[in-house]
Amino acid sequence: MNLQLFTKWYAKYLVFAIMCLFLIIVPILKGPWIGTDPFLYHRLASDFSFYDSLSFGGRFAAYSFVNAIALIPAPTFLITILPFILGLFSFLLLGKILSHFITDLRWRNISLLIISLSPSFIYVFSFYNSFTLATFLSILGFYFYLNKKLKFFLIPIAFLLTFCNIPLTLCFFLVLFLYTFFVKKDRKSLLIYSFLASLIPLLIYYITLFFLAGSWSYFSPPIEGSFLVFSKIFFDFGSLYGLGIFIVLLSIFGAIISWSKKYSSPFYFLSIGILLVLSFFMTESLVILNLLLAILAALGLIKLFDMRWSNHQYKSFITLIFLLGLVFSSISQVNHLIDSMPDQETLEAIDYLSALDPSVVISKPENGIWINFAGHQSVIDDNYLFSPNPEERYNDLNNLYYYRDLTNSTEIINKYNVKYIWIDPEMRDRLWDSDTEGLLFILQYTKNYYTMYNRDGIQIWRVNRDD
Amino acid sequence: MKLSKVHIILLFIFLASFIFQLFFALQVPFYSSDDAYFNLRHSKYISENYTPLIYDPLSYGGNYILDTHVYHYFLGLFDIISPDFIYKILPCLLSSLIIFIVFFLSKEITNDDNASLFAASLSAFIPTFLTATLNQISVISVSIPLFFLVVYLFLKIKSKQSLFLYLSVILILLDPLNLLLLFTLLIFGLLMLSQSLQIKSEEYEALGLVATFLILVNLILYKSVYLEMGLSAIWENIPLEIYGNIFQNFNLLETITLVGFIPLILGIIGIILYKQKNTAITFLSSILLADFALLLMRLIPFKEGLIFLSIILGILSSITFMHFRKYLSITKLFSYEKVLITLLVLISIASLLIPSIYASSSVINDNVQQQEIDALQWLKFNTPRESVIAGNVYEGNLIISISDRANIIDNQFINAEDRITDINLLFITESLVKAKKVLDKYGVEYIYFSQKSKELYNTETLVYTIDETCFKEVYKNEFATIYQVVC
Repeated sequence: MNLQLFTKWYAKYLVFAIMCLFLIIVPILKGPWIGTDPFLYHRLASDFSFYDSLSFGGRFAAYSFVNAIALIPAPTFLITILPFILGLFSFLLLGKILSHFITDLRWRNISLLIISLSPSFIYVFSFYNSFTLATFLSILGFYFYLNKKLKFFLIPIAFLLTFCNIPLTLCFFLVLFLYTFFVKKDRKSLLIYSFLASLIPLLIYYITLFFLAGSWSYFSPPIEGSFLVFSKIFFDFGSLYGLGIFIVLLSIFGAIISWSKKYSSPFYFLSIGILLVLSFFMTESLVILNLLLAILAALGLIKLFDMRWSNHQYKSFITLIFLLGLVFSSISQVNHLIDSMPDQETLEAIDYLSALDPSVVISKPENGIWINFAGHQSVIDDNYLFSPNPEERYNDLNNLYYYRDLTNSTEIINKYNVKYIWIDPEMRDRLWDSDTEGLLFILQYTKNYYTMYNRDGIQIWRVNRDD
Repeated sequence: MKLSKVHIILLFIFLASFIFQLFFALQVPFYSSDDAYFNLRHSKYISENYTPLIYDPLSYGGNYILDTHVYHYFLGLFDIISPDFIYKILPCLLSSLIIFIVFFLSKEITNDDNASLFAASLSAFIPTFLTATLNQISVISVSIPLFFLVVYLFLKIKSKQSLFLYLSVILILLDPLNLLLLFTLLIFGLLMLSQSLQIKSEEYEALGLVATFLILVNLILYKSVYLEMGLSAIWENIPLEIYGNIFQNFNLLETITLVGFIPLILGIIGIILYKQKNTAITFLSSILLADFALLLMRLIPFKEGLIFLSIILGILSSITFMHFRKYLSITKLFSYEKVLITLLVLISIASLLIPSIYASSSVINDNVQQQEIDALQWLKFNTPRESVIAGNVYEGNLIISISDRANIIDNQFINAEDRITDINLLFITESLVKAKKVLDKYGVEYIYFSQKSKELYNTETLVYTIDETCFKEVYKNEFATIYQVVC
């Protein structure tokens, strides 16, 4: 029997094609408008300012503003094309980085394949979100760091990165620190400079914000649910960009195999360990952890294939299960993104709202950014950092949902000068048991409100005022 | 192959168990649980259409059924051959097969024919097993014997690799949400490591295969449910109101009563007496520990957990039996060995047979009654085809299967909306306004008020039905009253 000694020449092109395929499906079938991030960055890029006059009725724009600046040249075009381009470059850079550590071509290609199929990678580069630019810059920064000629480019990258995504920057520096400590000890000074390049502007920015806003407010609404740890970490149990369960299984297998070599690569194992612990408190670290685990998972898959099996059927079956598992997670992520909000009905409602005169709109916090995108002020949205009185607003809204007393509810409506109320099916399901409860009762049975828009379960009510 | 005395006795035990079950099952022309009608409806559909009923227009007035339908295909296949008796005979036959599996598993541990026959005879009459399977077309009739067969094949993995592969795949597809298999494998691995026992490469491969396939099937089938509910999907979206009935708190006294005192004692003594460390006993201990853990964590339906417990204890009883015989041979009572052994066997079997007869009678006479079937058939022949019938949650499948009318709730909770509060309100409230609100919400035209609903909600009448302008009593027998909503 002839053993195959070399990886086929077209393997890397095949992996590249798979990566392109998985990154292109969501933009083609759903478009760039997924979740809230694209709406926020598009709005900020279209009219860039450090003061956001729409969110929370006006607040300091304590956002990751580099994500918005990157879109300024052509917001609509870039928001569509940039995630794919950044994903593509990230993939190529990862290939370069891996070639620095792994000489085995097969291991490298399978690592890249697993990265391409991972739910986290697909999430990051399928639409423009707070991770897209930050992940690309992290990979680029690490590539520069490894490259002797280009290493000083890390400093501007570090500066930009910090204003893209702070938790991801922290993870990036953690990995970089471990790499410097265990491997590239001669680049300590570069690490320090880049860290300072990241930290000092960040401190200046937030201290300024602190003085301008008057106080530090970081409110977080209570989260309900059981088994939160699993749903936070594993994509298959509900995390948006968590780890695929089959990647984890394969990487455990890979770790068992390479455990004897743990002292020869402490940087790698320690990075995984620390990021894993960190992911319980800061889910953003899963994006970096996913890249590291993919290498172990690839090793696991290779060993699974190469090991001596007592029964050939078992080998084929288990390999098939793992490959199916990997592909299934990717398809699930793609499906999940395609089905995610805003759906067509919500987009139509946003369109309708944008045709109305600018005013204040009340809805659940998750709708706040869409309301702002439509050119209206929101009473609350889910960017709570440095927002004015988030807790008070949150409680007021919760009271408004359940008041059946017109005087009390009118008081809240007047307090925020609300002109429109947006109610969607998700709010109805979550907040009320029947159509005659709380705010729904008041909207239906008092003369103070009338429906302006009522389509596919989404209702926009106008507050009847003399003005 | 020549039949030995042991084989003949084993066959006799099997026939005794099979005939015992058949005797009770054939006493009534209907089936004895709401679940039976779910399985019947789906396998009938498959035998007629060759495709599974994925969207059931009658369940909840339209509901996606999340099931692998492997069992329904299996039944459907036989339905084509003999539709009349297959649903009565096949489950009895399959559940009786546990006797052979218990025999072979016991023999694997004790290498003693008599002890294995003793264990097999204990497994012939397990009251909880009968309560859950008798005349109920239950998937448990096949999944539990299959589970133990897979365990046996695992112990014989060297020569039975392919068979193990196929049967474990079928087992997982039959009951993907069964955590027992996964927990057993996990505990088995830990126990083998802690006892410094070597896991052979074939066993590693088998464990890996089963675990990964179980995860894959779960993710493919229940992905959307996991995304929505996280790991609580294990409870299949069962409403809190009835969760406690299915996933009960572990109660030692109730467990002893249901498992049987003698098998429990003999089983526990067996595990203590067994001094050897090997794969077989470690695997059985793993099932026992996994089952206990799942019962304590309320991750396995209580009755299902007890069935596993009973079977394992039955197998372990063979060890006690073997030691008892050995012990007798070195005592002065040796001359009475046959009498004492016969006495032990008779007492043990009687301790299970009597509760089994009682349990079987109860299943056949109380679970579903003829008057219930009459009332449901009245609905089928006397109501418009598109009518919606309100019954309690444990009657939903009966309504859609026998009456062929849409229900507003049944036990297919996974993709369904939570309606249990409304249903409870409908049967408890005295207010016409509240009841009418629920009836209007689901477009209910008939209320099926049965004896079971009376017991479930501890009420004798639906007070609001006194209003004759709104409700008309259209049918009444000893078991059920049917009201038509006329306003």
